[in-house]
Amino acid sequence: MNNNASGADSPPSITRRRLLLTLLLGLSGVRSAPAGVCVEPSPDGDAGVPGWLGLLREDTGAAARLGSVYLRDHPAERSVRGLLIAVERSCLGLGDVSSNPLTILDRAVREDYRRGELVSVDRWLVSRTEARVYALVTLMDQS
Amino acid sequence: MNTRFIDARELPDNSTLEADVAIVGGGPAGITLARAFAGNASSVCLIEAGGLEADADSQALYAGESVGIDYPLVESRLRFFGGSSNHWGGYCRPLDPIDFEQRDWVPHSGWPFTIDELRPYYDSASEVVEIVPGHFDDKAYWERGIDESIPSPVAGRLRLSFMHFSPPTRFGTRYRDDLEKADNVRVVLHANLCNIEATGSGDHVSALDVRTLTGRRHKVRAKVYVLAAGGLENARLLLLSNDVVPNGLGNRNDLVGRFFMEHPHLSDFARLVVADLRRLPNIYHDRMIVDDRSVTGTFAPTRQFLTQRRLLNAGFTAGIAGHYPLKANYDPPMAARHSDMLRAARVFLTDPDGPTDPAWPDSFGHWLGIGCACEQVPNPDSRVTLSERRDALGLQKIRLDWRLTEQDRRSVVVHVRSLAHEFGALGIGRVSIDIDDDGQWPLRPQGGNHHMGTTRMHDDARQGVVDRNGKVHDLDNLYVAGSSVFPTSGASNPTLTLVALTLRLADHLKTRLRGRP
Repeated sequence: MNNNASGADSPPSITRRRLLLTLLLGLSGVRSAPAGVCVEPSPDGDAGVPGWLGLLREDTGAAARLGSVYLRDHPAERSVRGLLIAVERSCLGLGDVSSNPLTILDRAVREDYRRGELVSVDRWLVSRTEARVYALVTLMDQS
Repeated sequence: MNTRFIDARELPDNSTLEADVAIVGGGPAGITLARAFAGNASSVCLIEAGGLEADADSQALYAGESVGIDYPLVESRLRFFGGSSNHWGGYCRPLDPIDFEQRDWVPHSGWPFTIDELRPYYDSASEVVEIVPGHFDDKAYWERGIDESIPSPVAGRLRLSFMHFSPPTRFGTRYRDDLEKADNVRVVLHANLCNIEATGSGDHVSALDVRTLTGRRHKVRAKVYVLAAGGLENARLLLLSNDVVPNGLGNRNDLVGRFFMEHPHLSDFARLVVADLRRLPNIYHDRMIVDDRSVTGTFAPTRQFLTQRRLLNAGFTAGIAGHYPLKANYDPPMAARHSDMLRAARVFLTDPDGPTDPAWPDSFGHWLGIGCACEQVPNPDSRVTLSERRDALGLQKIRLDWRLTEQDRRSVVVHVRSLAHEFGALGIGRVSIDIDDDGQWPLRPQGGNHHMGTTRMHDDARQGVVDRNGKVHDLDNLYVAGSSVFPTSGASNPTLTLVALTLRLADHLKTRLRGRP
């Protein structure tokens, strides 16, 4: 699994990125990409947040706190673009991300646990992909 | 008291008791052996240091010095009929096949036989301890029994096994009637073994010297003698019997008392948080009743993982410790950490179409405590010797130097992390690791009242005190029963295995005695 979240490699497709971003926006409780974050604009404007993402929006503070710990320990990953690419890369081959990004992301996270791609975050041993999702929430909250 | 149960304090002073088999100790091993001979042509005399009930003066004879990791010498065993089964928790699981093997990364590992030698005895032992024989790794059996699907770990590090619970069997009360009804068995209570009398060359036991706390002295003479006094006392009794062999009987190679092993138990080393209990199979954290027998899941390392990572064995169990109400204020640091993880990972730990467990409408998660029992590497420096202090019988007290090694600690650290892998891969929960990988034991390890290894079994007299049958290498008619003969400890609670070994010893002794004139 690629742990490089610098964003140096070629980015995934815009559509998949937008869907993933949508999911993350759900996690962070905002409706669109905040100004200043390093993401490509959606070709069809604000995609909005699907209703099912409401479940994810009840509390972003917790994810942001864990994400900030991760970013403190991995300062080189302090890039929304790089984190998005890394998270998306971990989802490759796990299914059609456009149909249900949450399911695919969950599969990617479980796969991390299965394969041992774990990092310690505030004494929690968590999936690296999961930690990057929390880091993205942190960066979005900060912007 | 039944005439077959004798109080040594009421025997005329200097009495001599004779039998074909003399058994020292009325705990699980001693009583199992005596029962195996019930109705047999051979006569049995079982001597028990205590009475039928606990007694402070007798119990005090277990006091000694703990000079290594602090160890409760008095509290970890019981000196009355039934022995330490009187406070046994009832946990039963056989050793794993790998525990019997010589592993090049575990010094002094390897039993003289494989688990196949013990399999039939495990079944018999299960009946003795009143559990369902077998099914320790039979997930399908338990799924049928509890009518619930049981997911298996998927990360390849841990596997699900099943811990059976004995009622627990209190050997003294459960099997007293059996012994009272056996014409060929006598039980002598309040009889403390003080010396194993050997012939001049030290290769044959001629008698046991027995004393009571009231000052009476007796002898027990037999064709064969079996020490079944527990994993600490077996070694002490051999060391105390030093009038012929200065280092103690059976100790020509300086092995008696060495290799003391426990199962290091840690607590507060890790916590599991679960957002939706419906994802956590009941048998993962609770005792389930099937056919009136109690069982729970236990997590053990896979053989492949142990071999690849060159680790010691271990076992983990989990239990629900608390839940997190939705409206509580999570100020304490630990609770706040749990709360954060549960809220952050909720997307991964709950089903999107049914986020709230109806059984817990006001809760957003639970936390589980995790218990572990680990194998420790056989270590000659972890040992029982004799103290200079003396007990009420004038005998040197026990001196225990329990030691653990860096290899033991590293194994624990790796296995604890496996819990995070497996529970995460199953989408059940997240694990907080509170044991640092800094070369230090995080907390004072505790034992499980499991005393093993001090008269270890090996075919080579230079590497073991007893041979594959439990006979002391140096002597032709002295045997040892119990967990002191374990060359390695595995991570399973020892009672089932020591009972199985004792049943095997009984078969051996019956064959031997049949062959004698």
